[in-house]
Amino acid sequence: MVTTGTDTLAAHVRGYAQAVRLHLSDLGPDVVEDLTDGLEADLTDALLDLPDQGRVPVPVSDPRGPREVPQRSEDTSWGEGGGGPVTTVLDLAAVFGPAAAYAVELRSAAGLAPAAVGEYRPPRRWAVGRGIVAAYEAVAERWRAVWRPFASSPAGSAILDFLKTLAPAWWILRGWVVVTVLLFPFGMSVRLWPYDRAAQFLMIVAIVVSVQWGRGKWLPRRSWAPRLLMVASVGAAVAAVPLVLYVASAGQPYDYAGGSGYDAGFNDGYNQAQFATSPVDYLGEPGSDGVWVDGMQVSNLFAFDQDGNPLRNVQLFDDRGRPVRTISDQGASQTWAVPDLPGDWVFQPAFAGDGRERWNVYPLQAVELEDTETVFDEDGDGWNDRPVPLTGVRPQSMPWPFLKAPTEIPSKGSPAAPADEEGATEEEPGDGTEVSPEPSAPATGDQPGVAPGGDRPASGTVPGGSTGVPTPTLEATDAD
Amino acid sequence: MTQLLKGVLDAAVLAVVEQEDGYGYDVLRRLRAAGLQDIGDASVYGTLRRLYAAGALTSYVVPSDEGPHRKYYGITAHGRAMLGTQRKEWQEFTGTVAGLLGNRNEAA
Repeated sequence: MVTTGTDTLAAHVRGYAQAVRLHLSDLGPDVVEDLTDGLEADLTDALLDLPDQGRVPVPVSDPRGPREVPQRSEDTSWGEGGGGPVTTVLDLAAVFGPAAAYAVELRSAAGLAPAAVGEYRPPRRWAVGRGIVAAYEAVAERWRAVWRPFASSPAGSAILDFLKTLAPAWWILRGWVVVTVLLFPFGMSVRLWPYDRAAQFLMIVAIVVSVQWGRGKWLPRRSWAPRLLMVASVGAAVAAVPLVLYVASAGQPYDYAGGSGYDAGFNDGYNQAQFATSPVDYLGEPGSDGVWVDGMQVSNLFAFDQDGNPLRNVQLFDDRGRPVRTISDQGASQTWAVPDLPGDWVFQPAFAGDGRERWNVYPLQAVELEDTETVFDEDGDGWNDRPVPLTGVRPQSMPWPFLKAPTEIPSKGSPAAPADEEGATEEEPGDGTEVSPEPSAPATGDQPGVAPGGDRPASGTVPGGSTGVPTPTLEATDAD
Repeated sequence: MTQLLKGVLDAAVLAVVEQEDGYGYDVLRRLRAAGLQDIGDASVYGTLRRLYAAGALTSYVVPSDEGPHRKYYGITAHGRAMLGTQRKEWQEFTGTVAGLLGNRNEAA
């Protein structure tokens, strides 16, 4: 009797056992391990119990399959009696049946769900997807190999344990990232909580699903599902970094719907707003201010009189006599989203009698981005490259938040209106001696002495400017 | 493996293990020796795993001098109770079916 080397036998047993495990892989490593622990030993025993101790000649076609096969044979002469050709290779499938069938039997006897349909099919339709998954698994295996020494050290495993407790936070973030990325092409801005109802709903659903998947629930019972989840998670993790950084730095991007240079302007404005209460003078930093309410940047202001009726062309100054500007020089070169109005809007200033811009006359008017052209400033100062209305296009009034203010103020006790005007003209020169407000008061007043003169024409402009405002020749005044 | 065998495989495996602890292939061999020739390898191994998971069997590993270790199974009290129930059910069932089939034969 010819005995096959134990090594060869063991190798074939291992190969067959591995094939069986492969067909069970959708059950997860723990279950597979539990189900096939000792499988090699059982297989080996069964083979050694065969009449010729594990040497299994293999006919090319065996009608009955397992159990009928084993026959006495000499080294290569088994086929002599008119049977099939003989191979010296051990084929355990001839004894135990195909590994797939063995796995199915094992699975059903153990009371486990049958494998998903398509489990044993060769990859055809999802070739690209499987390619990605395969590439991912290769990388992941290498990645694990790199980290293994670290993870097996006490400190490393302690850190990993700590990180594992953070997993739920990651599941929530993952849902947020996926929806944010998916909705980005549909014009949703990157923000913590979307404005849109449908987007909010989608966000909640995605987060719930992500958390459930993280807990190992709701996953489709397909062999590719865990791997697809892993690939998607890695993608989400990569995307999460810039998104989170963006949201963290942007805070609440209100009133924004596109436009280059926004980030810089926004961040400037935001940072400035943090110090708005401290008496910082922004000498030499034209246009870096703005108005903020509850952490949200204000684009436009609407004034109402004591009876609650809307007021047009109201000039606003702060207690230092500085014009209150919601739209900085940078803001003027950007587009803004306006409540209740679709489209991107470019705010336009009112103009003083001498043609200079007055940005503190409210409510501001605006033109749609399509109706503007960008005029490049000769200075080469990028911030002046701002959109101006095309010839013939007039800025529109923006919708009022309400037709009548909700609160009416009794007529007595409103000396503020006249005092304001006087205060403005009187305090202007007075403050001028303190140097600081002089350049900052008029937005374009770079030269000394402009402020007092600039004030009067401005007040004269408002009644006249109420109907027809402006000519789009801004850069001429800017150049002054 | 016939459908009949499938229905009593649990009881058969429990009975074999009750006689004496055994590892996977050992249990299979004893079942075959007892006459259940058509029984499938994987069916027995899967059944052992399922009974173990259900608490009817306990398991322990015995190192082997030659080759891999062996995972032995022994019966638990729960397994014994289960076997007792199944024995009774089987006896009732076979009595009923025997009577039924016997009647048919007489009628025919």
